[in-house]
Amino acid sequence: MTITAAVDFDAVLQRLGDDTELLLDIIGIFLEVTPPTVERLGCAVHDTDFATAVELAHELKGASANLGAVELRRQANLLEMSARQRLTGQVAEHLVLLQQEFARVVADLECYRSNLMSRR
Amino acid sequence: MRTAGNTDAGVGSDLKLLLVDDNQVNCRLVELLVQRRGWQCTAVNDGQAGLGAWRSGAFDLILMDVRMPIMDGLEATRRIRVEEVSRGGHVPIVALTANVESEDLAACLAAGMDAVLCKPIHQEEFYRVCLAATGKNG
Repeated sequence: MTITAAVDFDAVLQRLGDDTELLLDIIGIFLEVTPPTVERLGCAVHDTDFATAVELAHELKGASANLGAVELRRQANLLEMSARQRLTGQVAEHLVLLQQEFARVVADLECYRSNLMSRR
Repeated sequence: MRTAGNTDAGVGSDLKLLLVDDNQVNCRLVELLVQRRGWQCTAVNDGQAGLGAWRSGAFDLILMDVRMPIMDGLEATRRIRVEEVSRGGHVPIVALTANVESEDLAACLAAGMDAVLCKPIHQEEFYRVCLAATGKNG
């Protein structure tokens, strides 16, 4: 089994014109904005509030795309689709996978940011 | 409503943008890109707020997300175009969308948008499309 990186930094940097300062800013924004989103998503799923789950999963999908977090984006999309169809069991399963992937993305981003800043 | 900007002169420093997008990460990214060019950006989170901001301000360009709560970008664009008939003028509206299927793009243009910018945002393309839409390229 191959374990791939949670974030495709090369692709993001290419989109940002190899601007590492801009990437650091975006990483900071992502780490500030998305943890509460994931937390609220967990509450919405727990409460079977499908409308809020759709909205929050959609938000996370967009945020993940900006940072090249491909698998997180995929999980958010799956959760959004399941919530749209009100499939309680699938929504709960996707939430677990999404939370695991989110933790991987956050770890990758923090590690990358730390490495970049230590080189300054 | 949140306004960001940079008073330092830069290329196209007179550009005033209205950003209508409910995604916080996307908004902050656009604001960073805008500030780096010395442009000004006013950000709101849904189409209805975008319509209100457009009515009360003068913008060179509107960056409009398509899927938003309360009022989506297509409806907001249609309303702006209807009001422009009596009010006069034509503000360039660029769609921000992750949906790149041909029918989605066609829907944006049919609603009255002038161009489409695909998400996730590519820095170079962002500046190119903004400048082209406002006729300030180069």
